[in-house]
Amino acid sequence: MSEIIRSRVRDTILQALSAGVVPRAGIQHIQVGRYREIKELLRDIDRISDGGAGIRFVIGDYGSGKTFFLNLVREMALQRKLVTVQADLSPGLRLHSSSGQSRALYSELVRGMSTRSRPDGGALASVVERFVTTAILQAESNKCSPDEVITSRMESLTELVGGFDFAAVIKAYWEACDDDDSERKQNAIRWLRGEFSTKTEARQILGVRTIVDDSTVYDHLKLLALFCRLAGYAGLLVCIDELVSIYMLQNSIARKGNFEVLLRVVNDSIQGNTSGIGFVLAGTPEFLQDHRRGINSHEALSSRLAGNAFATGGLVDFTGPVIRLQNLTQEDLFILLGKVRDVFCGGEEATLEFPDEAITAFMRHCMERIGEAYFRTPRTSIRSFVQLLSVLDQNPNARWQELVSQTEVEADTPMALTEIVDDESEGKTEDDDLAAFRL
Amino acid sequence: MWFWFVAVAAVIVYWLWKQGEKSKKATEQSGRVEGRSGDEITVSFRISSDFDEKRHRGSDADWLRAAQVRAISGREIACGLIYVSDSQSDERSRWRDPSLINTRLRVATVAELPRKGEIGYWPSYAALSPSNRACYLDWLASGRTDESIDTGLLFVFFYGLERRALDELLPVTVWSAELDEIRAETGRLLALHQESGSFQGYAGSFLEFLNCYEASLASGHPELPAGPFFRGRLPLGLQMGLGQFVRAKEPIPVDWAFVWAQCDPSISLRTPARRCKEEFAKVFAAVYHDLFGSGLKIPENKTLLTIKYHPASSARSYMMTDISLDLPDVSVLKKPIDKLRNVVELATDKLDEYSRALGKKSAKDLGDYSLALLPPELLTEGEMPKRVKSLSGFLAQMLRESDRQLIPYGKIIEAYSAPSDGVLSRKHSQCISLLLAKLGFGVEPDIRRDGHAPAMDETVCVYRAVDGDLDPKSTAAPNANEVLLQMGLLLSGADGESPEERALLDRQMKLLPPRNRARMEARLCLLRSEPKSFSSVRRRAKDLDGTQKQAVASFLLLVAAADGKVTKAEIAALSKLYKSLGLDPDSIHAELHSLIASGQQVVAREGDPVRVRNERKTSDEFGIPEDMVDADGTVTLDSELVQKLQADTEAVGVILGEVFADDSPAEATDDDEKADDADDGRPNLNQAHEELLLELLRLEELPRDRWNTMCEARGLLPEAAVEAINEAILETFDDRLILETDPIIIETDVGKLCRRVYE
Repeated sequence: MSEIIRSRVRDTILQALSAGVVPRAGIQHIQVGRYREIKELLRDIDRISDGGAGIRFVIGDYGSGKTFFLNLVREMALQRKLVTVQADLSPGLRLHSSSGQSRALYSELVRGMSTRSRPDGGALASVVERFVTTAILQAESNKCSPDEVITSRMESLTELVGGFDFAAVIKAYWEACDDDDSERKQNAIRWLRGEFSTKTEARQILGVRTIVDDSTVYDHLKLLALFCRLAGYAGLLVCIDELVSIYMLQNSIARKGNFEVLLRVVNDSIQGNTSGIGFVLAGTPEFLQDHRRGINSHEALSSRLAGNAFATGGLVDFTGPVIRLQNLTQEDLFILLGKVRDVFCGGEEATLEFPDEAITAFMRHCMERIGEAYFRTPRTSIRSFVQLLSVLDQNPNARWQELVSQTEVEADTPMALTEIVDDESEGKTEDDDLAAFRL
Repeated sequence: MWFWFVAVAAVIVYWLWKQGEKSKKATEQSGRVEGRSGDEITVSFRISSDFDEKRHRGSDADWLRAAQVRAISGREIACGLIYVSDSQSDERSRWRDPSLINTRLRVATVAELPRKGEIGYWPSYAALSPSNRACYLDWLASGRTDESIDTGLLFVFFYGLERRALDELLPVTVWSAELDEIRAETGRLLALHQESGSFQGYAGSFLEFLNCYEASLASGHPELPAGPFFRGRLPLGLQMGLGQFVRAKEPIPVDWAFVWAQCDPSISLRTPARRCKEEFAKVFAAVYHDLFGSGLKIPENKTLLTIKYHPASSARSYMMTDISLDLPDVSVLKKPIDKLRNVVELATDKLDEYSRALGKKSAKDLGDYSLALLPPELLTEGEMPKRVKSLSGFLAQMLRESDRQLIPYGKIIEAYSAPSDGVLSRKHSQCISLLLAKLGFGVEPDIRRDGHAPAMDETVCVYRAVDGDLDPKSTAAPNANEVLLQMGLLLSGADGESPEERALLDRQMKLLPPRNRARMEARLCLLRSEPKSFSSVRRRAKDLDGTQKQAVASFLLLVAAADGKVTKAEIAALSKLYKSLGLDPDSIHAELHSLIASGQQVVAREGDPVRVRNERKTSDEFGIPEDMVDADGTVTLDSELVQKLQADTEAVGVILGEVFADDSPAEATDDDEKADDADDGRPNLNQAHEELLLELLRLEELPRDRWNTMCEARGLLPEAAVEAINEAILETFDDRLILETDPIIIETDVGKLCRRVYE
């Protein structure tokens, strides 16, 4: 007998699954296996909560559940009172660039900032106000002005790159709150979100000399992490998906720049230069293993991500930065579909007659239609399954034996990755060996 | 009248018949030689002859023994063995005894050899011209040693020997000294006059008849008759001996079988058997031993052996002398001949290649290397030629301590024989490879299989072959396991072979049959010392089928990941090998990842070597590992795996349950009030927030502006207020209250719970 699931969570899960996407909530109800990976990530989260740092590369092939796993980790982090930010890399969102893509990534991350009570993103203002509120409360108890408390509490931030201006912006937010100046409040939030494009504008509006730009994205993430802890949260977890975008960059210098950022992150995490911040990055095997364009093409980064040389012949070591996810097997899918069925029934006594034999019959049907793809890339299989359950639920007279064979299943094929041509002029590329030349 | 005429005629006919009966006195003799002991062979015989005694008995001729001396026409004839008569009645007895020397006949003083055609087909002393008689007598007087004597005169003398032996001495029950004299003289003349075919034929048969006769009198094991042997005619002694073996239920010894096979008219000897006589005899013996052990055993047949002799003498030319032995006549049997023919064919086939090499013009070029074409039977320790022996010794010395050894190819050539023209051709290399195989060694690379002729300074690997040579034709076809191992080695060598990779290859090696394994180990040894290019395996990989290619690829992935790290060099090597296999190199990363990610499961599968099925149905056929998906597309779930996964999922559920638990311990923050709300079940909120919450619960949904106003009125920041209320509600009810912040929307169910605790 499974636990009782709230109808809101149930609907969220089922809607997401029927749309073919990973649910943002209640993901723990449909998690299958991956005990050691989850345990390891939970340990990471606890370490971050204790002021440590961590980085994990979640590597998996198309359909292996990277995004699912990322969302689960994010939900766990939220439960542990961490603040999370998340974004997917894309041609316009990069870890390193000189044309604003990195700042765009930062903006996207901060826009997706979530807390336990604001799990749907947009929690930046909440975090800032929580900090301010705690400062006010502290000022009341200490019988001093909140200004002083904020200044003293922000002192630790000023030691970091850009920390002084960051503190100034927070202070400006407090002042705006105090003055009931909503515009200034908005500007402070805009600055924190990295939406200022010029320093002049920032100086005129907020009186700060710096802004979040392409070169300071990582520094501002570190500032954010520290700030979150000052605001009373356990830390910051940065979730970035689709790292394969770096692999798809055609320009080798652009790729190298991104890898350099990753190297900084890895180094800081390993060496303990940062605290209260963790990164969970998801990518495909090519991104990790390819020696021409993947992480392995970057010697320093590659050496830091190398597996434990002693973890061979049956020994495994999950403490390395790389966590590999295997594609689902038939058995995995069997249990997953069982869980989806349980979620559909809301965790209560099954009102829907859909036994395990029906699941097997459904799997057989999928196998006949699309072959092994039905469990290796199960997105479409699960969508069809949820739709089948819906039909059965709404038509009490319908029998699963008849409906299973009529279910439409389409093969889920990954979108062809297209190389990202960099329009930046970042100098001569190493890959331009065949460029035309003239004597 | 007619009656009397008929009666007289009948009387005349009867009289004539009686006369004929009287004149024809058949001579029949029989005897028996009995053995003294059980192991000796007993032969009974009966001799019959159609000889007309009357024609000879009337003669007064004297027979001179070998030592007797007689002067004839002024010539002293000291070695006898002739008939001499001075009787007038014998003077013109041309048809009575052609050898008889009648001293009354004229002899010229000057001897003269007969001219061509002068003597005729049936020579006789009486019919000779005086000068020819002189020639004949001179020949006799000179001790019959002149090789140039006319064949006709020779036969005149031989007729005398025939007459003496067949008419006057035989039959006997005990072999006499005089018969020995006659036999010895016949043998001497045969040796002296080998050019004369007719004399060889008659005198040879006569000698054989005498030998056979003597053998029939003797007891004990038969002796193989001396040659020469002629195809198409079984020597009498051989037939007798064979009969004796059959009677005694003893196997036919190999030398007897060989002579039988050579002489039997129904067995034809092909060129190799004629061109390489010595080798053929040895190979025949080896094959004969292989097939029949100590010898062919023939069951006794009923047909008895009869030995016949046609005399040469004109006086006896139509008279047959038979000896019927109480021995089975094996020459009439078909089965033994078929078996012997089979042995001959097998032996000939084995010599075929060698014979061809000798027959070709290029035989000179091959020189000692043609010895490689000898069948293995002639390359055994005792039989092998000297050069081959030195090579074998050299290799044995090299492999004294290990089963394989790397040496320059030139050393092998030096140990054997340098080519006559100093240039090592492909043919020479092929011969060396073949010779090594026959000596129980192998060399890699093997030109017979790979087509690559090693250079003199090239390092090759010699090894001790197990279970004999591999048929290069059969191993020339791609063997999936060999391709797999070679590719695995190329891959492992890409970044230096690690112990794990080596162990994996060694484990895989065990799948091969022993003799293939010896070769593969040598090949891998060579590859380890001098890595080869990928093109060497590309050609062999092309012919594998799809399943085999996939299995090989799986193994390569295992090798790449065996040491826990996949280097750039390994990925590059994998890409090349995938291309060689016709597989997509882009899939390497995904497959490698899948392998590494599968962790324990992969290790479990790793425990067994990767098995690939050879296309050809050979002894080294392996099954494809069972997949989860059946071939017919049905779904078969591994119940054990399902249970394991369920247990894993339950464990995950426990962890997640703790994380998402309703009663997760609230971590106290600095600004949290320490009020204990456990008793009333209310959220842990300060007064301002609580008031805000109660107002919110009343309104359920309100615009954002109003919310801001409500917060300001209580000195709260609007976002912080949402955060604080949601946090507190989450701690209490494990769910958020405020779902949306613009406008403010609350969760109905949680709202009800809240109202209930505040009522």
